[in-house]
Amino acid sequence: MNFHLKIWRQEEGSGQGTFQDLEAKDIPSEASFLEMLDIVNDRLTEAGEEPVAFDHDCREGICGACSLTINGIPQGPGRGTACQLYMRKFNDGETIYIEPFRVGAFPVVKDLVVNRSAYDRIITAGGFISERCGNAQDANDTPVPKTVADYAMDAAACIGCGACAAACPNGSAMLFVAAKVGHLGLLPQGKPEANRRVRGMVAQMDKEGFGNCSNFYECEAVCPAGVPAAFIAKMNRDYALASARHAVEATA
Amino acid sequence: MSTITLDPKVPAGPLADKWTNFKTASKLVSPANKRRYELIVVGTGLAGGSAAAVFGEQGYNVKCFCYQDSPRRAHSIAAQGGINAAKNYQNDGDSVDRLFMDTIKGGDFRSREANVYRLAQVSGRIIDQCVAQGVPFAREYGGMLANRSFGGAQVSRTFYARGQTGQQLLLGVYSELSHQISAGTVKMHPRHEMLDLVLVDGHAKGIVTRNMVTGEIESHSADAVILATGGYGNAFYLSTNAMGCNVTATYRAYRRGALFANPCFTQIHPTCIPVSGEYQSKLTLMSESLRNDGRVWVPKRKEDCGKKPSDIPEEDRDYFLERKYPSYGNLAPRDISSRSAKEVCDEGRGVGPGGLGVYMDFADAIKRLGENTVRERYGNLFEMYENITGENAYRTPMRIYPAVHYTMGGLWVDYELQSNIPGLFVIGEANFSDHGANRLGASALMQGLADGYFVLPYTIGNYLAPLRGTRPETARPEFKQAEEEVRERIKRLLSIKGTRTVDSFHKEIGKLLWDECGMARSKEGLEKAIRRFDEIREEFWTTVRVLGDGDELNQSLEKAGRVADFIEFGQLMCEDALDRNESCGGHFRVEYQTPEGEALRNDEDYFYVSAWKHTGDGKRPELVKEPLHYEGVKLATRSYK
Amino acid sequence: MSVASVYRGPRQPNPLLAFVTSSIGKKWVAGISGALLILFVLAHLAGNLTIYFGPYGEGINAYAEALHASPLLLWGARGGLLVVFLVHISTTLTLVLENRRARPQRYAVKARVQSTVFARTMALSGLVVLSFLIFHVLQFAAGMSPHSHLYDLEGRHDVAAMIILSFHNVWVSGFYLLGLLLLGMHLSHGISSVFQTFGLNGRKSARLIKHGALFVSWALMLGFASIPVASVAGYLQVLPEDRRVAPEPTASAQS
Repeated sequence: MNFHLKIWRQEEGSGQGTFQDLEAKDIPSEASFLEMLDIVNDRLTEAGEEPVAFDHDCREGICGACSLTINGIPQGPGRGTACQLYMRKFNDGETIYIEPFRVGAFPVVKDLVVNRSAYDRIITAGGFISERCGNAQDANDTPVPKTVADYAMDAAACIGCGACAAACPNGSAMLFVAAKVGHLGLLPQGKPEANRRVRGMVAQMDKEGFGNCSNFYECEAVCPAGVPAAFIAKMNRDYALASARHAVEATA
Repeated sequence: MSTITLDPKVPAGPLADKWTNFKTASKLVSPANKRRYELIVVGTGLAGGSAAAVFGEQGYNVKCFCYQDSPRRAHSIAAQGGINAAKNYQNDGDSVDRLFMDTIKGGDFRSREANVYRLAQVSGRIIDQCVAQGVPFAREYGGMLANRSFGGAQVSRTFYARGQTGQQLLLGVYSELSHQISAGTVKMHPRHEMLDLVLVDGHAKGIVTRNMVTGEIESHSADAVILATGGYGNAFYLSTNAMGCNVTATYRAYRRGALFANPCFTQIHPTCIPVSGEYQSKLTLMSESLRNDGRVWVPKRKEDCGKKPSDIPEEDRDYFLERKYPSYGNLAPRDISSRSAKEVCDEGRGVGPGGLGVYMDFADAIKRLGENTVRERYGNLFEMYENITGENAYRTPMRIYPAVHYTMGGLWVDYELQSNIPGLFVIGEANFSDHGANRLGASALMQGLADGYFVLPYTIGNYLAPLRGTRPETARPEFKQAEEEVRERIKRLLSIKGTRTVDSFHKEIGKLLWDECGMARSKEGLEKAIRRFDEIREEFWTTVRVLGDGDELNQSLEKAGRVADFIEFGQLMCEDALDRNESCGGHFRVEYQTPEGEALRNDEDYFYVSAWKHTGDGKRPELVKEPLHYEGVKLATRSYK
Repeated sequence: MSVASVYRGPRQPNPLLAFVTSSIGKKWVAGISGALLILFVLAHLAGNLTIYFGPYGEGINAYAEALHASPLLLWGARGGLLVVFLVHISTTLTLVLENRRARPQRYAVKARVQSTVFARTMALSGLVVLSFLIFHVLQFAAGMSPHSHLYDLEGRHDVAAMIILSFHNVWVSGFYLLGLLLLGMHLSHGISSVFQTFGLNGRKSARLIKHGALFVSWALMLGFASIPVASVAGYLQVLPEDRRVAPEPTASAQS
């Protein structure tokens, strides 16, 4: 198959970039999208041009390193990450735009590589259960209903790739934050610090400069892990209740 | 004869009491003193991440490094199936001893007994710890934890979180690590690659890293260095490892004097999606848990291979694992299942493109359990399979083929997980000790977390306690010299400006290793490969083309450094495979097999750990043996019949 | 145990201030004010529909008179409503500006996966509705309509006549319908958004809420739109000029 690529090239340290036109010829239809980029990069190298930088690692859709926006859709069309996208999904001769994730809080490092450390800092602000290794009770001492465990798992499945924020016209990180708040808040082990967690994580999210949620649900549509936007609703509620409780405690 | 003798420091006493005895006798660092120590942890997978978090909790100052943009992306995340623990929640007769026995036997009697026993002992607490951290393991309706069975075991002891157990465990570790980062005890350095180990007076006291965004070469000093940098499966180019997985950290340590143990023990996983073309960059694993319900078969006759699977009647199918290993059936251990698949394909009975594949059929399971139950258990794996191959495995059997998955070999460590270089500790897949010649499914996650959470935090005290604040400065000449060597190497890579891409070299050595040091190895092939590696190394350093600069994000440069190390390391793998004149676990030498084609172990001559010492560029490595001693286990022919 | 490893949680000076200045807090403010406005729209529609009671729309005249019976309450409500409007507008505009900043660079290819056109045009529809509202208030409530000074048989301000006669002007009824269309769009997203923002959206109820909200919004708009349509179509009749009597001096002043 042949494709006409328009790939975003941006030099390190510069705030600006441009699209480079590249022809991807004779690409096997069974190749994955990233393998197509590998082929293009190999040819660029052979031609003496610097290859395109892009983040990728596990190539099985779970590490969350992929951060390509393909034809305007973060992680490309269909469910799953860019590495799980196969060229047979495209038409022969198609023009494909490849852009980095465009979110204010994810500055572009180079070409298609962005800096998503904002997500790490949000987790650092409370996305954990404070427990000390070595003193946990027996794992079966606290039963967790299957439905609760399953629902928590739906949220825990988040791969932290940032596609949610990248798809959001507002550059909002709500789905990512809500997934962690939902996952830990649903489980009995996470309840003791649920209030503090949601307030801390939301405060950090705001500090990082992510946008606000306008309930577009683009995040949910592109999420490779299929995290439902219902978790955002849950976080809205949790946050308000946590703030109310905090206000009462502060005055009491 | 070797110039060094290895002391595994296995504590005295009966097997079951060794760990307790050790803990009672080990030295402690007082809480007030811990904050005067600095520890370097390289790698943030299950082993590294958990170790860094626990050290932070204990009050040490930790500097943690990973090459990914976030510690949450370490490749532990890709483990699908589950984690073993001797909890006996299923009341099916499991115990610490049984898990220990299974692991020793699964490793084909080439692991260190005391380490394995300790692993089995701490396994239960790992599950407790993970649940406390919020890992959403699968549950039964009563709220209790669910289990599934895995290869090489006749009990259900595997805990799981859908097909994403590794992800959930790693996110648990990552959350605990994040907690410590927020507390200020752990300083995280993502997008940093360790390029050298620094020794001061013979002790590991720091590392040299490259900031992968700015290209800056930096030195970091510490009281001890912990390597948790995973395995070297990517030496084969095509593997189930992540693209970034590499041997550089451990190989650089090897070049600095650390011994590399059993490098030829590599695991070929039986259930991967078959290769479909030249361009392919990576192989995708289908979790071993599928073998709980999937039946593996090929046509009995070669002529049927081209037919549609549904057109082949039951009596013309060869369920070869069930036939050869009736008591374990489709759950035979990985090395055995892989080799069986290779055998039937070598006989010309393989299916799919190139005849390199066997069927894994769920028709019976769907009939027995219903499609919904199968979907609930493996839904995401079936989706993944369909996405990659375009085939619906609910309707037609999956095609699978073995692929490189895990490496049992690694840097040599003693019972304290310390290498032969004082102050250098190695945990997780990066060390060698627990899996012998073959690892059982769901045991890698167990070992990574055991090392990081429950072993190293106890064993490191013996080294640290006497030091108290003797950490060297990075201004010392040892650091400056290591930095200079790293810079020199990068400059050299960039200055060759040859004609071949890094990937073309990587593919070449990958194929060489797969052919000569893969599922079947021979003296002749290995000798040929060793010679070929010399040539490839020469070609690499004269014709490789690496573009761009060293002082920016440069992925070709990163890859070039890693592939350069893989080339040298691949040769070491072959040396080790050549030395081991027996077949055991994942190491199958065609010269040594039973008349039925099973592995023929030689306990008389090879009941030892092969630890290799670097002797200089272009020189053959020196073999140092650690003889094995078993107290609790009787050596036996490994049978899964 | 080292003291350093104890996580103390986020520190904020004033809990309430922290809440209303947070992203989610602002959404709550927008949601609460929006919900109040939705309630107002509902009440307003209920009031408007009284035009269908009694001959010559005099049901609405009675309703208007009842409303004006207690000026304190009426002005209190109007004042409250104004505040709610201002809060809603200022909060949502703040959100919009922040959102722009959070996404400084647009994609070259615009793709929309599942967001609705209603959702993406909230700011636009809101601003058009606002301009419509200003016209609407000036016309009907502030007495600037040429038909604001008529009185019915019982000497009440003939609100019905003011409405119906105004709608006989196609420009007025056209602009009114356009305003309703945009308000309908605004509510289509607004009503379900309130549920989402208040955390009342579940995974299973989300669909129901989404469709229910669409139904309610457009049912409301149909209710409002029926009046200009019925006026133009002649279903709603005005009290004939010859039967009209002069207002008594005590009749409530127009307002």
